[in-house]
Amino acid sequence: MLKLGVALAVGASIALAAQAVFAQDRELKIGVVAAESGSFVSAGNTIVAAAKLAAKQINDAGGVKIGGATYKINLYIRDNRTDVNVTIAAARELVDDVGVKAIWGTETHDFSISMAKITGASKVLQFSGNSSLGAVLDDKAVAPGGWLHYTFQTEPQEWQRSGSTAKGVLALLTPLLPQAPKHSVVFVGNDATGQYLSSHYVKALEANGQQVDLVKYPPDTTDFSPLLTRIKGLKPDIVHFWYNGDSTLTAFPQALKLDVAPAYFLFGVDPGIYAERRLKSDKPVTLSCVPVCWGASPYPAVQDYFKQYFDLGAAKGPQSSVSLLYYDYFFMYAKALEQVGSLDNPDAVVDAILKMKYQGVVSPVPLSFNDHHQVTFATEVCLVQPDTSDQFKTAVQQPPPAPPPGDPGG
Amino acid sequence: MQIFIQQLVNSLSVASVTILIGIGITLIFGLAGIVNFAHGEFLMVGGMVTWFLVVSGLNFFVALVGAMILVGALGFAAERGLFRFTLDRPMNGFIMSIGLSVILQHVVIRLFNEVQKTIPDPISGVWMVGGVDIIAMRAVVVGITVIVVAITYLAISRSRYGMALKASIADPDTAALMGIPVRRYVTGVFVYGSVLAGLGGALMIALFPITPFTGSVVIIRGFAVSLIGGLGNVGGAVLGGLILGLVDGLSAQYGYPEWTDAYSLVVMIVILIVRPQGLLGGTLGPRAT
Amino acid sequence: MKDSPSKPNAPIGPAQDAAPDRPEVVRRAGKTHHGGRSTLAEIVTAVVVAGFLVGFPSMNPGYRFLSLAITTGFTAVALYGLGFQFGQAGIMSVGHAALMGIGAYTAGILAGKLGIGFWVALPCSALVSAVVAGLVGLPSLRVSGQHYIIITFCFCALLNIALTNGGQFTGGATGLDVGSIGSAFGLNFNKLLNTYYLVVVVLIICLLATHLLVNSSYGRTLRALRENETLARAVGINTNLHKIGALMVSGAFAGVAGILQAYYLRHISPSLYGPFPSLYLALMVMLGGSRLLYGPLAGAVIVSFLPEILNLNPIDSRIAYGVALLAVILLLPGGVSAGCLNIYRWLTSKRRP
Repeated sequence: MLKLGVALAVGASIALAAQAVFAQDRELKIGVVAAESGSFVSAGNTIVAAAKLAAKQINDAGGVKIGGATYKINLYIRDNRTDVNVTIAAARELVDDVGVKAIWGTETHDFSISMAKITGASKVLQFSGNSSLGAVLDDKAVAPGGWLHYTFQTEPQEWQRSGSTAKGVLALLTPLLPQAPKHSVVFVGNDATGQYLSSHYVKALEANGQQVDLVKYPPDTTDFSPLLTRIKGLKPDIVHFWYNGDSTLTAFPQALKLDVAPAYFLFGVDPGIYAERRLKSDKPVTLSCVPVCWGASPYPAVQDYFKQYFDLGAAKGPQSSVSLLYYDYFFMYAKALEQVGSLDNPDAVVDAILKMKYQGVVSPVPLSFNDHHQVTFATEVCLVQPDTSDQFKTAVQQPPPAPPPGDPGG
Repeated sequence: MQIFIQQLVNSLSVASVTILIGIGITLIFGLAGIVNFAHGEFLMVGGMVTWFLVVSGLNFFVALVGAMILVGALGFAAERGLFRFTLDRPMNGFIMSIGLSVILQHVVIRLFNEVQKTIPDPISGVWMVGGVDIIAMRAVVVGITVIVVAITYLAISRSRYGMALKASIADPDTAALMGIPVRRYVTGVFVYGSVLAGLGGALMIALFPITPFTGSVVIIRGFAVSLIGGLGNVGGAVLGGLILGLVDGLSAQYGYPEWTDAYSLVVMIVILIVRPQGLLGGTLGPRAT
Repeated sequence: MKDSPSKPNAPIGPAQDAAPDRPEVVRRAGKTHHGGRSTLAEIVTAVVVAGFLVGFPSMNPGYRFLSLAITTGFTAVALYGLGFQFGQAGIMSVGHAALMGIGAYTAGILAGKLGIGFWVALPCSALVSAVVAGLVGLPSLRVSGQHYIIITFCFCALLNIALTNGGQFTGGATGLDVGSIGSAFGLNFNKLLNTYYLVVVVLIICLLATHLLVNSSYGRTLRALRENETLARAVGINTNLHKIGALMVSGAFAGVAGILQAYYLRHISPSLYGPFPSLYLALMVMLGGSRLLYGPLAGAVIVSFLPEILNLNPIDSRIAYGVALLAVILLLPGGVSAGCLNIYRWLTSKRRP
């Protein structure tokens, strides 16, 4: 009887000790909601790929040390099937059933907003790369108790992106044109993102001395020749193709055939895709990426990142750079958790992030969030050497310090 | 003035693709009595097959023929396997075709993913005629369409086959009693219409990129064109296609760009309400009121 | 060669039930008052269904399934409208999502511009949708079924464009933000569970309303009209009024579904109400069956839950819907609900001596 008791006691303490040893590696639950199928899969996949890369790197480097214990990130990835109902169901599952502490996603503005209503109510942090969140991130919403207090916008405010893009485009194109360009036409898809982005870009161009005509096309247009002919009739100096990348890739060759303008700007078309499609123009063409180009970045950190990103199996597409809207913030979040020392104090984590300056990959300048939970960084613009498909010259313009006249900011 | 002519020229090429679909639908709908909502997907499959064959190294025109044959076979299978059973209840056939269109779209996505597909221009070059740019490939599309329309018109309107078809739809029982092999004719029309859709798809991908959802964008045009012109009326389909193409081109030039699609939608609705029998008259279609 | 006489003057109508030689009255089993057995079956089914709906949360479904159930619920409400107009009056539409959109945007605009909350906006949405449905339905009096289908599709696309270009009024392509449902009956609707019960109550009201309408003289008149419009007119029925009425009822259901959706998603945009969603609504109602009482509910449940249960990705699940629809049309022309009913009848009839 005594021997049994001793054996039990020894066995129990071994078990407890073993558990203590294994319990050192606890689980940091992080959710990802993105389109892994459905029409927005090309953007959604990049979020998942960025999350996997960041989680792997953090875990390989030893995990996150919170309050004396080591936590390994465990990603809970949910496909939103490009459907808002599934997004909500997934968010509810992650927040209420799984119990994640933070969620990264989504690629669609509407979905991110619907999701924020769920995460905010449960004090779960949310990192969304939608610049259109700027329209709702006001003082009341981000204050403690507001529904966006735990949400962070990881894409720069649109007027900033527009500002640095406009300056970059004009700086690259002006030397190649017979006279300084004065008349720009902005050609954009008439959906939520298109409407939002163009409203800022037009103001940015005007602030840089351009007279601007805005032409919005129905989002599922395939034959652009009627509208392009109309634009040609306006005799523009530059035609700026904004959102979205796929439509631009359809419209641009048609524009070249119809010889619509002496110079072009293509937003959201990465030099890598331009080269792959073997597009070629005798007129100067500028490209910009969201936010940095994977085909031609001047920064070693970015080149490094993309090498690892593609090595892990991610697909090469016009949206691949969207991954950088999500990647750095895993590290910021981990750092904030380590500073706060606890998983159960989301308010302190939010404060820590707001005070943090972090040197990430997406920007040569340290990242930080402003009072409205938004980041700032420059956008890369590059010029395709005429008559080539893969010779590029890049330029990076810092964003303007303030919104231009007529721009509501946000 | 130059711009106006340029818009007209632009409209012709897209109108051509719409006409090809429209003719297929007007024949199938008007003369075979089958409402096939998946007809747009037949076009899309034609385009995808063309892309696949071209990417595998075949010449575009060879691929085009390949697409026509394959989509024709697809049409044959659909008619024999599905629509044959709902000839008496066209509404059921219509619902089935919705299911078929969903299946085709997603099977294509599974096989080829949903990124847009594009092929290099089979015929490159732009001709400048009197200040108007005529893109060579578009001219070829128009040319092919004209030939196909002519053949179809002669085959349907001027031949005994065509008259037999019209008889079959007007009164199937009597036609059968008179010795017309109604079932076989129905299959024949369906296959022919499908072949036209395949051709349309091949021509379309020569002009612009297509996605698995391209079919659903063009199908309504096709139905509207056939109803506007008159069911079973080849000339009517051509007229309908030209009208819609014209509205597109002119509204893009002179209207509000973001309302571009709306103008042709309104025209479709108005003509359908005001002249339900079609501009040039046609058959009553399957048990129409 | 042909197995049924041609009817050149009849509107294109849905398939007949599987047993065309049975008397009309018995074929519509489950909705007749003939024979105690069918009424008992009716009541038992109703109790079972209601019990399941109410008891679902107690089965510990988790928040994900509860969310999906809510979505299924208001989709089913819209489907009851479509099922009514098609099953009873024989008018199919592929623009039904647009009517939901009208209801949703009515609620959104009332909330944003006039500060009107859910409970007051609910009847408004139903009313506005009903009126619009009636207006859009006017062409159906003049043209045939296939023309009307194209017209509904065009209206749906037009509404989409109008909403996208509506500027500040409709929120443009971005859409409108919607608040939450205000407390009522002492319940806080920020709790998911309470929202679920609200949707269940609305759904049960829908089922009752449909049952009453279908079995009323109005319902019988509609069915007579669907079978042979010329004859109906000849006996003095005002077919136009009846048809428009059916469409308005359908619109009201869609409007209610729309406002429920708006307050659940808390954000609406034009893309939710375009031609594609409308096509899927038509698909769901045909899959489930438009003539029987539980058909639309079955359609909504199958389409929403099957991919979850089978863990199919969206591509495969859509292929599955398509195949299921083909199978149902070819084998079970009345939809899955009619198929189940036939199986039930076959089983019970075998027990008779």
